[in-house]
Formats: sequence, C-alpha cells, structure tokens
Amino acid sequence: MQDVWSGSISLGGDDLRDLNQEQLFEHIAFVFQDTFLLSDSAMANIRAARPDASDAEVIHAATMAKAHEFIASLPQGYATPLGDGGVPLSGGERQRIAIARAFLKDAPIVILDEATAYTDPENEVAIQQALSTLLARKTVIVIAHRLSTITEADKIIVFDNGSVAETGKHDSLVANGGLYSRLWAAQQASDQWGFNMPEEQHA
Amino acid sequence: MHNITARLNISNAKFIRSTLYAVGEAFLNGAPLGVIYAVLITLLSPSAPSFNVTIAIIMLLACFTVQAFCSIRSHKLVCEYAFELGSRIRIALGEHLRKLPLGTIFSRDSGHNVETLLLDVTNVELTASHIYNKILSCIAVPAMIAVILLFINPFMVLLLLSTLPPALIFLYLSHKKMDILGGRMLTARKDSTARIIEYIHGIQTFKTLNITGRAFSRLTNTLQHLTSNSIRFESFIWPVTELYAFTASLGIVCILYVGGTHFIEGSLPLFQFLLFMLVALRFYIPINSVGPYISTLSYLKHSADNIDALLSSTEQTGSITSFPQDFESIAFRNVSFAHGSKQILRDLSFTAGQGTVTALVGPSGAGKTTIANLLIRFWDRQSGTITIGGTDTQTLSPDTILQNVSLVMQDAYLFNDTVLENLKMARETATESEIMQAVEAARCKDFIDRLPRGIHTCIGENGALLSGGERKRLSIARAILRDAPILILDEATAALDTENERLVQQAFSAVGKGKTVFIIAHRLSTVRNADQILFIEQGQIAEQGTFSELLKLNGRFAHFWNLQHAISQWKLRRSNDCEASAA
Repeated sequence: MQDVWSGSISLGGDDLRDLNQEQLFEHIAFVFQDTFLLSDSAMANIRAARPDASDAEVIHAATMAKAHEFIASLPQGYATPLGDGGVPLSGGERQRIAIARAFLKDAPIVILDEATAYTDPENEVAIQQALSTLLARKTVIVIAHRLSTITEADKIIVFDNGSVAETGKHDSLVANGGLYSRLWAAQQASDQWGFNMPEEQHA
Repeated sequence: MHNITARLNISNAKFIRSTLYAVGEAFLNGAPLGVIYAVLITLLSPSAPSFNVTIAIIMLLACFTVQAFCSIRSHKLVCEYAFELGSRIRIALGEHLRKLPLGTIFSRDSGHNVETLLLDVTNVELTASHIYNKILSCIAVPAMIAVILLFINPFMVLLLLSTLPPALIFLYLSHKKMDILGGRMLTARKDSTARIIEYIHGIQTFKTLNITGRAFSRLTNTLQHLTSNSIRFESFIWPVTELYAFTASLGIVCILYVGGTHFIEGSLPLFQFLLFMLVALRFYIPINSVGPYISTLSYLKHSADNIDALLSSTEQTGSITSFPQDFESIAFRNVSFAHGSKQILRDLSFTAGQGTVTALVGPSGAGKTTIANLLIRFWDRQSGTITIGGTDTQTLSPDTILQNVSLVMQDAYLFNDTVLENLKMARETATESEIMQAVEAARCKDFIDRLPRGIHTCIGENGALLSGGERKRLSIARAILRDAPILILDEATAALDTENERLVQQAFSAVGKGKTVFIIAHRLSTVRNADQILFIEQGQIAEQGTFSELLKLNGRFAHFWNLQHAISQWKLRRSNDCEASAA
C-alpha cells in the first residue's frame, strides 16, 4: 500500500519493492476491521476475491466462514444486493463476508487487522472458528488491541510510537514488566468496567 | 422543467423578458432585408428615381445597433434566470436531502444522488441558459422574415415554407428515438459515477483482492457501456439532424426553380426573385441549427425529470421545535420497521425513564442500532409510536431531536477541516476551556499535541490523517462537548486501545450522570449496572430486566454471558486446537 522510505522489508529474502504489487497481493489475504462491500449481490461480493470461482466454491467459502446461514436467510439469498443501495449488514456479518473472501483466495499469508473486534458472543464464536480454520498452515500476522486473542502467538511485537518496544512470547513479556505487561494489566481492569458503576468498583 | 419552477415557486419574469428581447433581436435580424429590398426596388425601377444612400446606411446601422442591444439584454437576463434557477435548485435539493429519512437516501445508489446534484442541475441550467433561448430565436428569426415577406409575395413565402413539414417529420421521429437513447446515456453516466465512487471508497479492498487496474471489470465495463451509449446517442443525432437540415434546405432549390420559371414567364418581378433568393440563403440557417438543439432537449428533459423525482420524494414530517425538557420517559409502543423486504423490528415496546441507563444487547443484526436510529429519526418507524415525554417523535422536528442527543456511533464521520472546527460542530458556542475539557476527557490531547499544527491541523477527508482509535476519540469529544440530555453510545469504546479505552470509559461515566443513556454493547460487563437491559433478538425484546434478574432467568442473556466468559479465554490458534477452544 505504501513503500518504505528507508530500510527494507523482505519476503523470503526478496525486497518487497522488487515484487510487483499484484504478485505480492496474490499471496496475501487481508481481513480488516471494516469490510468494504460492493453494491452487488452477496455472491459477487465474495467472488471478488477470485473472479473465476464457481458458485459452488463461493458457497463453500461462505460455509467455511460461517456466513452461509445468514446469507441464505437474506430476502433473495446469495442474489441479495449488498453495499451502497442494498440490504444493510451488521458489523459481524460484514466481517464474515471478508473471511469468506479470504477463504476463497486461499493465500499463504493472512493479515488480520482487529478482525475479532466486538460482535455478539455467538457471532464471535462463529468468527473465531472460521478464523481458526482459515489459519491452518498459514503465515499469520495479527494486529490486535484485545491482547487475550494473541497470547498464543509464536511472536508478539509491541509497538510504541512507531518503533518496536518489545518482542517475545506472551508469558515472558508479562514477566518482563514492560509496556506489554502494563497493557495487559489495564485490559484486565477495563474488561471489568461497567457503565454507571460506582467509582470504587473500577479499581 | 415547468414542474421544478412551479415546485420551487421561481418567477419566469426574467425569462419572459429575455424572450421578448430575443424576439426583438430576431425581428431586427430580418429588418436589413427590408432595407435591401427598398434599395433593390429603387435600383431596378425603370423610372430610376434618386437613390439616397445615406438613409439606407443609417437605417442599417440603426438595425445593427438595436439588435446588438437586444442581444446583450436577452443574454444577460437569460443567464441571470438560468444561474438563479440552478442555485435555487441546488439549495432546494440540499435542503430536501437533509429532510429525507436516511432510508430514502441509502436506498438510492450514492452515485445517482451525486449525478442529480451535479450533472442534472447543470443540464437544467444549460437548457435554460442556452437551449431554450437558441430554439426560440431560431424559430423567431424565420417567422419574422416570413411575416415581412408575406406583404410582398405570399405565394413565394408558401414556397419557402413548403419543405418544412417533411423536415419536421424527421425531427419528430428523431425526437422519440433521442428520448430513449438520451435516457440510456444518462443512466450509463450515473452508473459509471457510482462505480467510480465505489472504486475510490473501496480502493484498499480492491488492491488487496488484486482487482485494481485492468482487472477491475466492474469499473471498466460500466465505462465501456457509457462509451458505447454516448457514441450511439451522438452518432444518431448528426445523421438525423443533417437529414432534417437537408430536407429543409431543399426550399432554396424550390425558390430557384419555381421562382426562376415564374420570372422567365414574367409573372415574378426581378427584384422579388432576387430578394427571395437572398432571403432563402439566410432563412434556413437558423431552421437547420434548431435540429440539434431540439434533439439535445429530449435528453436534457431526463435531467429535469430526475430532479423532480428527487424533490417529490416524501420529506420527514414534524414541526414542533420545543424539546420536552422534563420528559419523564421515552416510550416505544408496538414499533415495527422493515428495510425493504427485510423485517428488522417487530411490534417492539419498552419504556426508558429520564435519567436512567438502558442497555440494548443481543445478536449482531438483531435491530439494536435500528432502535437508536428510530429514536433520533434517522429512519422513521413504519407502525407503532415512539414518544418523548408523551410527544410523538413524528410531530417533533428531526433537527430538534438531534440537537438534544449526543451520539457516539460505530463509525464516526469527520469533516475535511481542522480538529477545532470538527469539535465546534457539536456546539458552535463552546468556549475554549469547554473544548479543552472535552478534549482531555476523551483522551484526545496527546495525539492533538503531536499533530503538526495542533488543534488547527486539517485532518483530511473523514479524518484520513488520524488512526481509527483517534477518530473515535475525537467523535467522543464531540459527544462530550454537545452535553445533550440524551446520550446514545453504540459500541462507543470498541476499536480503542486498552489504555485509552479505560480512560474514555471513565469520561463516559462522568458525562453520563443525570442523562438518559442508551448503550449498545456487545461486551456484557459494560452494561452490568444499567437500570434495564433489553435483550433484542430478531427485532423483538426476548428478555428484559436488570443484570442480576436476567442472569437468574438463565435464558438467552445468561447464555451470552457464559459464552463471553468462555471466549475471553479464546486465543488465535490453528484449527486443530479450535474445537477445544470453542467448546
């Protein structure tokens, strides 16, 4: 999306700037916080990830992404118009369309940017199961605010003001007593927060 | 177009005056022919009386001067009329869009709205400023010439007009076809605008899906469609209008042949024959040029129809501008709402007391956000009533309701202006210290200080310079600054990082005191202290009560609560572990 000004980013030893963008994106699937929908049918929206995919492949990807059920219940099923001027979807539903796209694309690298942002618990289970299936045998980069989702990561990189503050596994980072451990403690506290709660319960 | 001027109550006086000047101009356009006729008579008469050149020159100069004056006046008036019309239409469309329920706006492709506001209005302006005027003078000039010549030789005038009926048949037939082709071209234009807007908005997604550039057939197909429709439209205009012009111009041949024969037979004087030859060359120029104008008019008419259709969509009702200050309660009674064929809310009723906190929880897509949208009249309910202190919200002006609500939505829209102006939008009269307080409470101070020009930094379209969390915090600062009696938080702290989330939560607890609060939240711990929790499922209230009551009920809410606890233990893992973690 943007090129580095100094330093380099390499993939298997090749500088990213030497790859053309289309080759690069062929190997990466993204699931962002916000999913952009085309003003087109649900079928076309998922198929955008691989234009030559058959209807059966699209439906299979939707099923894997736990999106099949809600799409089937839309007024015209897979032919229902979505996006601008179409039937509005909730955030959790849009997210599953993005995951269905990632399934259809089946790229070796997956980047998740806040992909497990809040939705209702049933949806969240569905999304998490879908993601777990998607991630099998992939190289995964997760961008997360909810630290509980990344405690099992092979490597956690903590950024502060644009530079790397710490790296390591969850347990060692918590034990270090640095930025990560402070974030972890704050999150445990904010998970307990309730609107209108008497002050003493905040602590 | 008449519909629009009537709807907007626009006076046609300037247009009529301009038309009168145009007719005067046309008359004077024909007048020199009279002078030349007089000169011809004098020169050709056998008695050869004295010929006064000076009078002829003065008359010609007078004709030209008055004609120029009429032309200038006519154009000035018609331009004033047209651009006033354009600006009145744009303002009316803006006002009207603001008063439409969001449902009406969202059900139209945004590209179509943009094209109506830009292209259609420009087309109507063009019609009023250049087309009508041209058509009128193109008809008036030959009409004047014909009337003058009628006094000289009616038979020759008939001859001059004889080719017009067949020519007009071509014009009439082309008009019908142009209507269809023009409509198609306009639709193709709107579709391509819609696709271009979609392309710009979704560029990030399109890049990652690798469907930018030539591979992006959605855009290229609509553009190709526009190209072929435009070519068909334009390539149809010219042959047909040329055919029309050709047929009309055959009149010159008629004059030459019939006039010549009569002249030789001696039944037509030489000076009349010469005069009609001269006139014929001039007569058909405006008649021929009216063809393309009339064809273009058939296409521009679609633009006027589009504007009229948008202006005639039903506005939201409600004129009461005094908001009930002590409203005691907000009540939904048997409220239903559907989006197209998708039923969202079904026969939903509840009451929220003034100064209490009502939480809306439940599955994604159950209708929680719709309840908030109906309360603030972003949409209008289709049946049932929503009252604030006994006053039906349908009778309250939508602006008044919004003035009394602080809103933090899932997506916040920021304007391409400075941080300060974006904040002031919440309350124009806010003092500097009030703004700083809100900025601190919403945890915006740190990032604002880091911006190159602090609070006076322009943040780009929809806050492009800021991160998602920063945009969110700025929208929270707006809500804090607004300080309205009703506070609606729709997933207000999602997307914040942990440190800021906690601080913003505390800020909310502070602003929320004494306010009537509606919280939409997926994290159920957030709503633990709400006065009432509504569990919304499939557009209905499945369960209602306090946190402990709902847990005791051991129904859907309790299920969600337990599930959420299990999930908080969830970690991103490979699929082989997935069964275990989800269980």
